[in-house]
Amino acid sequence: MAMATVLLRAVPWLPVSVLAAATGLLLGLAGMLGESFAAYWLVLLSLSLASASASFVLDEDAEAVVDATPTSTRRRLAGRLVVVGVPGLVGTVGLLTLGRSTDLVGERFVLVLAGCLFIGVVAAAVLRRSGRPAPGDLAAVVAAVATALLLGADPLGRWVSVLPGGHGRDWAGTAALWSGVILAATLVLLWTSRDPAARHTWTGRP
Amino acid sequence: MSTILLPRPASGRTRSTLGTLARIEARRFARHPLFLFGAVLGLWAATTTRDEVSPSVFDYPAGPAFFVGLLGFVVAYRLTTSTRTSAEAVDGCPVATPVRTAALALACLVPFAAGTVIAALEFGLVRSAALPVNAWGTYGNVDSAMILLVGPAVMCLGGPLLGVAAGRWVRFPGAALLLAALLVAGSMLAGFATMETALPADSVAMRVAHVLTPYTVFGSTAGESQFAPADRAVVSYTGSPAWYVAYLVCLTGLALVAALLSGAEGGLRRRLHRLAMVLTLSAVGCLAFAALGGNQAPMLTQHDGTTVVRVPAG
Amino acid sequence: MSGPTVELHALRKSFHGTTALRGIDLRLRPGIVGLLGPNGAGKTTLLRILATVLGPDAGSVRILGRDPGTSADRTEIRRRLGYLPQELGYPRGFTAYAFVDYLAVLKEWDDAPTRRTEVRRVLASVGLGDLAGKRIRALSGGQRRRLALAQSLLGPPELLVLDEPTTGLDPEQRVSLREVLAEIGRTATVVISTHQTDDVAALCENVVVLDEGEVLYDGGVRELVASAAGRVWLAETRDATAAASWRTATGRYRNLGEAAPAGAQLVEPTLEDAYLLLRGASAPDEEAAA
Repeated sequence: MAMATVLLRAVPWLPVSVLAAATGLLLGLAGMLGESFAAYWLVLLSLSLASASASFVLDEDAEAVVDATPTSTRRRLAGRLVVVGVPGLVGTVGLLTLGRSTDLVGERFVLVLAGCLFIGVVAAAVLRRSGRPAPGDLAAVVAAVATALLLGADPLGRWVSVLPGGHGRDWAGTAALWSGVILAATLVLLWTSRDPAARHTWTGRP
Repeated sequence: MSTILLPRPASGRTRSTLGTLARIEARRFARHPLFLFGAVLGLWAATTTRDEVSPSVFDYPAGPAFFVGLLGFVVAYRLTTSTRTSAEAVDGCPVATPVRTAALALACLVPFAAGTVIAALEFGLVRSAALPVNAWGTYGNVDSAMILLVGPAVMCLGGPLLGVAAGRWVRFPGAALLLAALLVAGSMLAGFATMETALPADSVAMRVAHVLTPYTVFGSTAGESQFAPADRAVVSYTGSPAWYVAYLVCLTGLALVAALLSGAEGGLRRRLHRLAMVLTLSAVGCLAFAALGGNQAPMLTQHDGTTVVRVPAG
Repeated sequence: MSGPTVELHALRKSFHGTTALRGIDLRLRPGIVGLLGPNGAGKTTLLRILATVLGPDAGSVRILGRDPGTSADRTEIRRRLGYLPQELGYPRGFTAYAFVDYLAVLKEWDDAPTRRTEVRRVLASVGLGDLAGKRIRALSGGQRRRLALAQSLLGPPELLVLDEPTTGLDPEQRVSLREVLAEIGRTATVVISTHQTDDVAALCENVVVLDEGEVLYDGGVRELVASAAGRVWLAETRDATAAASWRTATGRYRNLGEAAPAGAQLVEPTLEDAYLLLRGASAPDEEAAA
């Protein structure tokens, strides 16, 4: 319990909560606009902001000493991933609410939201692995731009749409795509959360 | 061992210092990965083949505005705040904050130049393309140039300048993204929503709202708007593109003044305040002309080139 | 005498083609050992390996009788380790107490009352007991450095790895720190990397001098100082042949070298003299400094 509490205390809550709140605000505005072109773009923008919000959860200014503690990197990562629940919860509630008033299928978009959150965390994890103790500010930009382009440009549209269609339309391909993104992100997270000393050759075994 | 005495820098060298600093900042801007990424994407978007079914040319300004202007906002914010960790050393230098801000502002000519080149390229390609007769809606040559060329170029300067101002005044992690998102969301609401809501688009309030934000849409194709139900028809929205660009220039000036006000003292501060007043009044005037000039109501141009005024019921 | 707490054999480490450590052999026992060397000698790399946050490219390492190459052993070492890095960031909004408490939890001090007592103890030991509730951003540079030091003292550790611990501390704080470290050094192994030779002279029994990733000297401080005996002179003039020479506050020149300048007076060497003679380096020149 103490571990979970201190790990949460060390998270930069200001950017996480402000960007999560902005996610909720944009989804609320999209709900007010109803079935409109602007509402559609606001939903995409809100997903980018949720991704940016998740990018801050790995910020660890005291990394230099924290890495030398017996609490493993993965245990610390697991504790911090709880914070992703903040933009996740705000986004899920917003999308499901939006789904009731529009033809947007909220449940399907929740999977897209999960993928965007993973993209945010992975961007932070990769940057942190490259030597930035607090990569959030940069990772947020990378994640937001990446998700905005991915969702807005739909680069794989010829084969599979990045965004799920409305009720009654097949979305197996989209679901598979985002499940793949989440799986790949999980693998990258596992790779980046290896002990910083474990990647080297220790040949001191007796 | 000999002693080398270096001459002290002469005082009153602000101009040459500004030039040197501006060159340094311009290089940093030009080499920033996000700017390069945006410029390449903007160039790619400008030169790739368009959907030939769509006759509309009004989506084109979004390329430079988003890829260079909006990403330039984030880049400028990051460059402005990049010296925060060494703030004490930087603040202890004899070069005043407004001079350093002015150098950053001059560096914004880099995205301006990039945006202008991309917009000009795009404009040239569009003008030389064989487009349907209704492609330009109700807009003539000057208005078309304002919408597709001058407007996006100004946005590519205004966005980064606003980033410098935001970097000077708003400082918390994630601020750049939040402000950029609010900028986009505001533009969507004011620009797009006016063409989609059931409110009377020819009312003064809606016409003002349509040109209030730093990005707006002056036309769209069928299917994007309630005013263009007919396939291959083009809607031209309310407002004067030329006055809108003038309004953008005023906003750009205000962003510059807001940036320079950080750390300004004495006479400079007073002059900047006066300039801000003049620019604000000019912006209000230009906004009024932009809202009340040009099309008074959304205009629908059919595939055969005939234009029909459409005023929706409120 | 107890066995070695640190055993390094043929340790090598490179970064992007630059070799930081070139086959280091070291055995450290309980006590305080100083690590001296010029910038870029590989001191920080060596300390990071001792702190288990970095692994070598080649060679063998045993710390506290365990192999840091295995996950379980590495975790066990970290339970018994204190580490003060050269540069340390602090989470935003934390108080001094909250920061050390945070590290204490990560060091598996799960029992809250015991942890509170320990956090207060280490804060008091570095003179921050009264500032425990103060925000870190409101602390001075020296106070932050002491805070960083405080977290490394949690335990107390069996191996304490300190990179430039006295940077930013005033003379009183340095003396106070020496007392703390001397106490820990009775039972634990304390490795101090520093450029302050007087700290090493005051604290350490042994010293390791690194230069370009190699061990230049590994032995007693007294022996190193003794090696400079008869080679330190005070004279009215600079000795052009000296390994190092600088003008002192009295106006006379301190010359380090084999030959005595005319009218020179032989003086007792310091650790700094011995270190400079060992490296054969040039001392700071007052003309260049001007």
